[in-house]
Amino acid sequence: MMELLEANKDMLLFTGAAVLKIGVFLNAIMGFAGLLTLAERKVSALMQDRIGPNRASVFGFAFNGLFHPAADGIKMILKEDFVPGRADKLLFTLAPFFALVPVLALFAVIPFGDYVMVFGYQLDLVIAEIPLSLFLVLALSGIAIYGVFLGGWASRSNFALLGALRGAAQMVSYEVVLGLTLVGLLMIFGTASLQDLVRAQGRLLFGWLPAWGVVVQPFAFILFFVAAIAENKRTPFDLVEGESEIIGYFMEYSSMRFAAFMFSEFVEIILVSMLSATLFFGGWQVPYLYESGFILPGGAQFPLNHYLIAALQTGAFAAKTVAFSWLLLVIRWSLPRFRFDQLMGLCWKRLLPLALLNILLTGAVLLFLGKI
Amino acid sequence: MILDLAIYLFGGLAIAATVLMIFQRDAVKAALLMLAVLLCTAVVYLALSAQLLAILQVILYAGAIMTLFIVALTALPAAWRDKPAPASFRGVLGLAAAAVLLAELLKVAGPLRAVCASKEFAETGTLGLARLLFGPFVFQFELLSLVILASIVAAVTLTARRRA
Amino acid sequence: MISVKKVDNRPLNFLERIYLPEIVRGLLVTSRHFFVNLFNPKGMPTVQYPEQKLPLPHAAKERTRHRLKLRADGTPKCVACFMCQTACPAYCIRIEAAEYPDNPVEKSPAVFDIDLSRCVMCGMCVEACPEDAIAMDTLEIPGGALSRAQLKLTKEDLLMTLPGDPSDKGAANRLANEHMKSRGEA
Repeated sequence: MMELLEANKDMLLFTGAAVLKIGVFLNAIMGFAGLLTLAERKVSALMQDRIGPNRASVFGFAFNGLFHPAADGIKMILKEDFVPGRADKLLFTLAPFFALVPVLALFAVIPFGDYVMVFGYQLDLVIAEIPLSLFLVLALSGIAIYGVFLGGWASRSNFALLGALRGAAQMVSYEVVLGLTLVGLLMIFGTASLQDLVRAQGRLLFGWLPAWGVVVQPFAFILFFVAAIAENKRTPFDLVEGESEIIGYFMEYSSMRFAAFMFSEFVEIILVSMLSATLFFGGWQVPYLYESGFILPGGAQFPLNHYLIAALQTGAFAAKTVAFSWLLLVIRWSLPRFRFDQLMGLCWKRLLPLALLNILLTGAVLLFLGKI
Repeated sequence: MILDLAIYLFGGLAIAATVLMIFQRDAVKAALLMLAVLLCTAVVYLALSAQLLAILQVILYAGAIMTLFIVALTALPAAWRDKPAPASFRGVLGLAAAAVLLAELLKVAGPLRAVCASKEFAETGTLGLARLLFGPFVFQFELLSLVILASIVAAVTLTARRRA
Repeated sequence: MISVKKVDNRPLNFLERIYLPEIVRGLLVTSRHFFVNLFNPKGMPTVQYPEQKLPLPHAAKERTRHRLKLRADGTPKCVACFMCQTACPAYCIRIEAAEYPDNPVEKSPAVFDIDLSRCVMCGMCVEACPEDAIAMDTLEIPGGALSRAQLKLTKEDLLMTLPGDPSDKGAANRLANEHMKSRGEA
């Protein structure tokens, strides 16, 4: 028995570490997504000079509304699980999975820290380190379209189908822009692995400026952020759903099936925030913090403990994620919705040519600097 | 061992989904089964450590092309009939076409296998193919996309006339 | 008075047409509200309603929950004339009349129900009442309830005298006053 364990030690350690990382990281994300459902209501309330939900209480303690996500969850579970009579049962059931699973799978490739040494073993702070993770992000976000589309089609409802058609058209269009905006980053950093991309962003330009993606590709960041919000189907691009007046693809859904769609939107907020932070804002990088500690541009050094550095870096990543999530919430509650022709015009007539121009300019600059 | 298992499992799934797709009367469901086939082949590519190919398969075929297929299919009135249209002589026609295709495939399968298994193809074959496609044959290659566009337009006009 | 609002219809300049600076300006406005309210929650105008109430403005006081006024001897001023039931646009009042054993002049309501779940708080009943017997000045605002039965007010719920009620000395009705005077009351 011990021999067998000893022989498969690497594999067992790998599996154990992977399960541990998945457990911790995914639970953190799920918890944060649950809090986001509350934050969405609280942030919008504060922006509009209101107080927001603060009544759900346990034993009389409301904690200013902290129990509302739990109350929402219980309510969703207790609602009637309704399937329309003419709906396609199999696809109707499958659609929420298509909406939620690809989004959750994407978190496997997002690095949330560099590495920590545990008992002499190096533990990479990313669930799956694969060399083409950037492409995997695009691939899986393409799969997420099917959740929207199947949800609308399987309901056999005209309104839901119209919402689904809008959704498919919007997501396919903005997927193109999303992919093209990342080409500039690929050209500059020369790697498609998110972990390597983050490591490359730790370098300094001119000796003092961190080479974050937003510094070297500011234009691409704006395009990426717009396209990412559109992929996320949130206001100002929420024609897919349009909860206040036009009806969306999940109109026939109720109970936990509806909750899966709704929850996937909140998980996507986190995903977009993490991707923006990873690709353009240095991921877990803290400016001037290296493996040995802080090294300021002037040459001053502050050596730090290895574990403290890892905690600082993961904390920085979490802080960036929260900041971007907040920005997404504020954008959603500040801007009015686009009309559908404006939405498509923005994508194909504005963003796409600009993304191509960005690639051209990046190539020209790289050629000028002699980096190719 | 696990990789071999994955190849046989997902290869088998791909074949099963293909067979189901052929005998599926509902166009949208057939397209979804085709999506399953594409995803299964992507996993097979992954197990053969062709990561880029697997990811491109998902991005291009599953993410873009099949989405457009399915959107186009649902917009057709045929997808909204509760009962699929009764198959007439078209079934026979389809079987005949399938037989022709199968015969052709079997005919090329032997030589193709010899080409792909050879060592020099594995090292430079894709590159050579790309050089040929984008070099001397670039005009024919681009012409092919025009043919596909023409067939899309033809399909749309055919269904549009029937609806009127 | 007619006021004229001048609209600036000049064509948008380049910065405004690419939206982004304007979007940033909008975000600054909303996030300023966010942070001001986050660090100074007392500044928000929100009222935590059931615990905290604003004083009702003048006319709104006359559109709160109904009550039936009482005379000095404790009998309801209502004479069961059905005027309010007839005037009610929501059909929420139900009256059953009864007679006093010793009083041949007027009737009294045996049943006077108001279904608050149907009431539209329009005040027509108050306008219609010839006896000034029904009023909507309790300052209670009918809110939610856990069952329909809780929203149904009976005569016992409705009969109440508010402090400083000027009309608790006798009826407004001349016949009833004369009858009571003949009995040596009032």
